[in-house]
Amino acid sequence: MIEIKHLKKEYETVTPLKDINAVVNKGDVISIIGPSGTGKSTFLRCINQLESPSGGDVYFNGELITAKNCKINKVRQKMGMVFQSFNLFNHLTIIENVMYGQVELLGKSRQEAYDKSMQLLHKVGLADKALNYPEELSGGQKQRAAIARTLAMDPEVILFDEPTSALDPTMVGEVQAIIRELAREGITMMIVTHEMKFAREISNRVFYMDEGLIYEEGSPEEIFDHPKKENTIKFIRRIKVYEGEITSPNFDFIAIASDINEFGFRNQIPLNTVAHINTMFEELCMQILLPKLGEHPHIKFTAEYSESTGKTEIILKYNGEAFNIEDSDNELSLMLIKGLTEDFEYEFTGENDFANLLTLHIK
Amino acid sequence: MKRNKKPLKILIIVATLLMMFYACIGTVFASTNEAKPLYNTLDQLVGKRIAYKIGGAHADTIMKHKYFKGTDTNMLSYQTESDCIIALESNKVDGFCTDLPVAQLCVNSDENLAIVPEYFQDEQYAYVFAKGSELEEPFNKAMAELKEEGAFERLQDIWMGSDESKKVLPEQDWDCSKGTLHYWVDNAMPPASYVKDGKLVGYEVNLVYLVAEKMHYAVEITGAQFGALIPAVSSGKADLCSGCITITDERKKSVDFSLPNYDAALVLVVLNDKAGTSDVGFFQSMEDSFNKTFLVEDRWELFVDGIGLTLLITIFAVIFGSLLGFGIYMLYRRNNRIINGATNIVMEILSKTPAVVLLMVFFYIIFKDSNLSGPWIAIITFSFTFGANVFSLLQVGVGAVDSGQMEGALALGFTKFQSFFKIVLPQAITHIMPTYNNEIVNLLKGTAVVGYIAVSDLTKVSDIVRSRTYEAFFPLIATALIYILLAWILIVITKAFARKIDTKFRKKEKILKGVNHD
Repeated sequence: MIEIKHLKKEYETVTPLKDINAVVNKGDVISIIGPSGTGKSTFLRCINQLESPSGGDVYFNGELITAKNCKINKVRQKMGMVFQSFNLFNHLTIIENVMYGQVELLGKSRQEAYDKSMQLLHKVGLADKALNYPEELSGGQKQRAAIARTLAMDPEVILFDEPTSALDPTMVGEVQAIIRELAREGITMMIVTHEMKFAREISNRVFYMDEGLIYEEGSPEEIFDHPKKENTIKFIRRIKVYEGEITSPNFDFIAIASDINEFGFRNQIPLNTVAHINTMFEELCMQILLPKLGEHPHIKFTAEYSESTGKTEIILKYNGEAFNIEDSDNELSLMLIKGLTEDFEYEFTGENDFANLLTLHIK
Repeated sequence: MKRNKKPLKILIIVATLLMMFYACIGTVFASTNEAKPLYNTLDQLVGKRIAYKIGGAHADTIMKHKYFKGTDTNMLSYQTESDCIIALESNKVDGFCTDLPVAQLCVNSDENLAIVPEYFQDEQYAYVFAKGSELEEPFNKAMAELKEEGAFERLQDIWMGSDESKKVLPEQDWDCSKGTLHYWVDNAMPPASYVKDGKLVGYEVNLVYLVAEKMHYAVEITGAQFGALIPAVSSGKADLCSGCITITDERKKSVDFSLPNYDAALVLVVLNDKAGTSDVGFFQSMEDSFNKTFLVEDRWELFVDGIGLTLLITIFAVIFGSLLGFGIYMLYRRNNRIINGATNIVMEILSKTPAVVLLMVFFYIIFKDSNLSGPWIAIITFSFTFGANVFSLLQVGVGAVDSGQMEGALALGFTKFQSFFKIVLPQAITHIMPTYNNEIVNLLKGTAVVGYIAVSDLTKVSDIVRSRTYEAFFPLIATALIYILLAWILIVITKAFARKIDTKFRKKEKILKGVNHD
């Protein structure tokens, strides 16, 4: 039904979509997941051309809709979209919002449009709000009305752009229930979402997007239970990664410490865990490694926190000759480190930049 | 119904203010005989405050006078003679200088005033032509003949006398085969030129008629304020002008003068010793003022015409300005760099230039050679300023509509054009309607400056009337009341309109029109 070939989207400073290839079949319910800022919404908006792609082709029922002479507005009538921010027409009542496209675009009579709209409003549970204005509705109600508005056009496919992200947690369920119902009816859908449970439950295919690509694709079982590729695994296990690098003995210690705090705050990592990461950084890098590495240190400090297990792993790569921290004479620091870790492994890899590799698991 | 009470309240408040004004100043109008001026010689006024009418040469003349030269006498400029009188009566100045015939009329119609018996200098008035005008020579020839025939004295007797019935102009039924004289006069300078029974009359006007008859020309007369006369001649809008214009060396540098039409003197008008001792009652003086302002010479007709012009300019400027602003905004939306650059520059100019300056630029420079009448040029000018306002209102209004509205419409399958007109614009208009309505009222008030280009709108009419009645309080307050009333009517209309187009005020039946919903 939809075929996407080498889709590319570039902005001046970033390239959210590098090379996207995908085929959407009739009846597919596809969830698109991935970290923030990986172009999931951009991908969706490039399909119905709310964003014009920088390159590549999109076919809809065999028609090249990225072509210049394509009447994209006609295509959009068959390709509905539900937005994160609802985008109901604020100056019209709910019933008019649902009727408007039918009357103005499909040329239906007002009566016909009204009857269909009321039927749809019943379906999404908003029949009694028909004469209210959008501002008088809760977020969940607005999104249900927006879904009814999209359905009124009898689209062949519906694109959902994070339909529940702007909602209070209490209202997520009512909107998900409607979408679930639509999935059951066999409507073709593509859904960008952060709700993993929901994605797993309703979709027959999952796209994991990262690095400007559809990084990994598969059935919900494949993606959620047996992810194959590194980033997918990190994402599914909900692993948050912090990376810091030291290239001079006089590096900005305060900045790195505050970066670690910021990283913890952003990912809602428990405070004592953040404190441990900080201590590890200070003891490992400042107390033990830096005095050892002399004028030209090169240390890469990586902390990986797993949301699902609550565990933190610290990976330390550094230059210089083989050196295991256990050989350090700084016994106080060593004691502190050992007190905080379950275990640690040292390996001399002999790689060019970082010959030493140290992995620690924080308790 | 509740909303209608507010303007009424304002009316009452203003009317009360008016009464209080009169309670204070009612006593100023005195009626006594044998009053003497407070000052008897010119040197008594050295170092005092002296008013003069703007655009004249009087201030220069006084400051060059032997008594006043090098002193710190404070010369204050006012728009009209009646403003000078009010300044004098409210003790803002100690005297004002004017030409002898004007002074005599002032003293005759206001019992508080007197002329200082010592005069400044003899001076001569003349008609003004553009430098090197071809009309000058035949005009002067005809004038010389008329002087010979004693026409000057005859006209002076008529126009400076007290018999109002004689003060009429002849019909232009002579041979006009040579063409038309475009003649501009000060419309508030009795007895030389002023409005009587709705027409421009006066000594200098009458004299021009006689000259034109001898020259076989028709006369087309335009009334303006003093400051606009010489620019009109210089820019070619007028062939000649007059308004008690004194022949001075400085003026001779830029324009030509005809033979003198009157030998006058510059005098100082001051209060007399009986000023402020009136016993006329408050209501009596109100009634007198009302009669003088509205009823005498059917002056209410002038006011009706003035209101008509003010409304005409306002309404047409609103219509044209809205279309213009909208059109430019639509062009602007195409994001063409050249068009938008040009638009930005024009908007910058329009929004940062005072309306009155713009008006004169249009009148004297841009439309210098066109035959468009003053009101049309006023409409064009205010259409531009209003258009600029509408343009920026639209920018703000459309900007205030969430971009999601556009996307929502596009995603449903509307074209960009449909999305803008059907979804975004209606919401933007609702946003900007209150400000738009304010702008209309501002425009109504703003048109008060059209007097600068010889359009007799409401404000100018009140100037003209004040120049005849030599009183300010009543005509000014009356004019203010009329403006308030007009603004109030406009507000009622525009608010009703705003309500009508606001979709949120619709009834259920309207929303579900054409649908059986049971």
